[in-house]
Amino acid sequence: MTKVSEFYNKVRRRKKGEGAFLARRSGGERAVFIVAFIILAVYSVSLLLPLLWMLMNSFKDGTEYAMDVVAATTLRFPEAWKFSNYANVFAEITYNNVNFFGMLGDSIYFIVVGSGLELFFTTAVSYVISKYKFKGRNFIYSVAIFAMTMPIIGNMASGIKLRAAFGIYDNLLAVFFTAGAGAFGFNFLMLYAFFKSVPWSYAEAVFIDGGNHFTVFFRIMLPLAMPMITTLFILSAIAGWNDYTTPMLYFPSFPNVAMGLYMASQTLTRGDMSTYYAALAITTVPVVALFAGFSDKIMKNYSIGGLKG
Amino acid sequence: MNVREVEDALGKDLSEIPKKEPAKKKRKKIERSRIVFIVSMLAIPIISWLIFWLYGNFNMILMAFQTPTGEWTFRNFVTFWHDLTAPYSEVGVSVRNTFLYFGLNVLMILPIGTLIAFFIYKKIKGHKVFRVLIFLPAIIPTIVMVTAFKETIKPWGPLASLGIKFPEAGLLADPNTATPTVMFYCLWTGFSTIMLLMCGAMARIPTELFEAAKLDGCGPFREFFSIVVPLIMPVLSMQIIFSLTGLLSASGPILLMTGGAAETSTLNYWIFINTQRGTAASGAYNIVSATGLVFTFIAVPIIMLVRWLSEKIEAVEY
Repeated sequence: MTKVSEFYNKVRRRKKGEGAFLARRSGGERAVFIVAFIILAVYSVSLLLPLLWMLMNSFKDGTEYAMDVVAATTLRFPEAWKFSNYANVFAEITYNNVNFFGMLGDSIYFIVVGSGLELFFTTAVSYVISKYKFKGRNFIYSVAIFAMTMPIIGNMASGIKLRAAFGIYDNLLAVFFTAGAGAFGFNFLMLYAFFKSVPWSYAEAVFIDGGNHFTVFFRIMLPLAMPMITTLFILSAIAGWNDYTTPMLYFPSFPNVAMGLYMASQTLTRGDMSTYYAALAITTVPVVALFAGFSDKIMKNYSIGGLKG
Repeated sequence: MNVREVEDALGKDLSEIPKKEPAKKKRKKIERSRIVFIVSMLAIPIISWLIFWLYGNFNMILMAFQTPTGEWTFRNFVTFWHDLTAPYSEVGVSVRNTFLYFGLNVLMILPIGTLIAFFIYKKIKGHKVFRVLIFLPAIIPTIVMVTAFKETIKPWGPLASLGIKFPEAGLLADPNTATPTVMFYCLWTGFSTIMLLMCGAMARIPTELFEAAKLDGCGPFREFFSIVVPLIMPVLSMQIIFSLTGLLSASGPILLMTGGAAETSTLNYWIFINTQRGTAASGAYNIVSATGLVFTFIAVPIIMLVRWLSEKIEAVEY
């Protein structure tokens, strides 16, 4: 008996809460939500099914897939699961004498060195501009905001020419020269706002102890900003992993995975397709893994990131 | 972080302040090191920005008025005008398509995405799963999504296996169906960031408003159009600007879809592919720069106007 009354009280308490009142839906409302649920469910499934179809076909033998294509029966499980397709990716997918290992290497280089440096410079710039008063500070800030919102079209040719003039066109070292220019992007605004909110008294404590400005930055501020920097880095890692235009324009001999797969796909025959699907599946794993590990942070940042600027 | 944690981080005890130097001298020293610090932190990014952003864009203006060998000319603009006005012009098609995609973004993706966000915000059954699944296209590489989509609508794809007929040459080979097909792809994968953004905006609306509305017997439609839409108007108008700048600064999936064939080119794609395939000597770089310059001059005032207008709409305080 006591259990029943406890339960009743619990329900009553929950119903009193504001969430319950809003969650309670009338008949007509419920109908609208059911229709919306069905539409959303169909839509979500439609996003997944083509990917699963591709995954399934990535395990088929090349000839089996080619025959399925002719008979239009690709929507069926493989007769024999050919896991070796996944090993073959590394030998068979090539572009310009760069194999899949090379593409992975280029992707990792662009992300770790390229995006990493850019983020470091962004952190340095946003920290100094938010925390130090000096001549020209407001000017730099306004120029950064102005440059960010300017839709400049067609400067790629100029970019190639400029890089060629410095001898860094199609040269991996270019990222060391150009990373600084990326320090005034949208990440700048995020980190600027973050450092604005960090009290300066931490720095004063360090000065009293005899530390200098570098100590404050590297020992106090950088570690404090680390969670945010990590999130921003993951976001730019995902963007860099999926980006094929930058290497196509400025690093044609160094295809990353996204560019290399596109280039390789231009010369594939039907018999190669299942291995190509395997390559696509391998390419999807790292970003999905990152997403699975940091989905809350990533989604939160996407929703804030769009608002700023 | 408190003083204790700072102490731990430094491995020192802050109460044992060294008292060797007089305060004034010390302050001077700190001031000097302050300047060194500021300069060393800013120098590389600023120099790099001046060269690769400022001079890079300035150089684009110069290139628009130059021949490949560097002589001054207006020829590039004449060529551009001929390209634009010629029948079956690729530039003309690119401009038309860019407007089509802008219309798609503003009239379809933005409203539908907002509606999806509304139901997810209202905690529809399975909203957490939907949120993740609908966000996936923003995470999964474009090359993977595009390949999956292209194979799905091929005459031998999964839909064909289910009995749906597709033209033998494929929907992407025919100019009449190619752009609508790419637009359908953009719609299909386009809700991810809009949904999150709008969910974020809706989460900031005080729940009292919904409670009051509900007490007055207001249904989900009234709730959406009379409460949610007016309150997230600033975010919506910001998104219109972003979709315009986004279209002009990125070529989307065109390269992976069709490589610009079958009249699917957009402005940014046209510039991208002519830069990527062109050479400095052929003059392609100069024509691309001239084209870019013309459209930058058209786009900047539009963006300024939209921004000005969106600031005119009084921001609702809540």
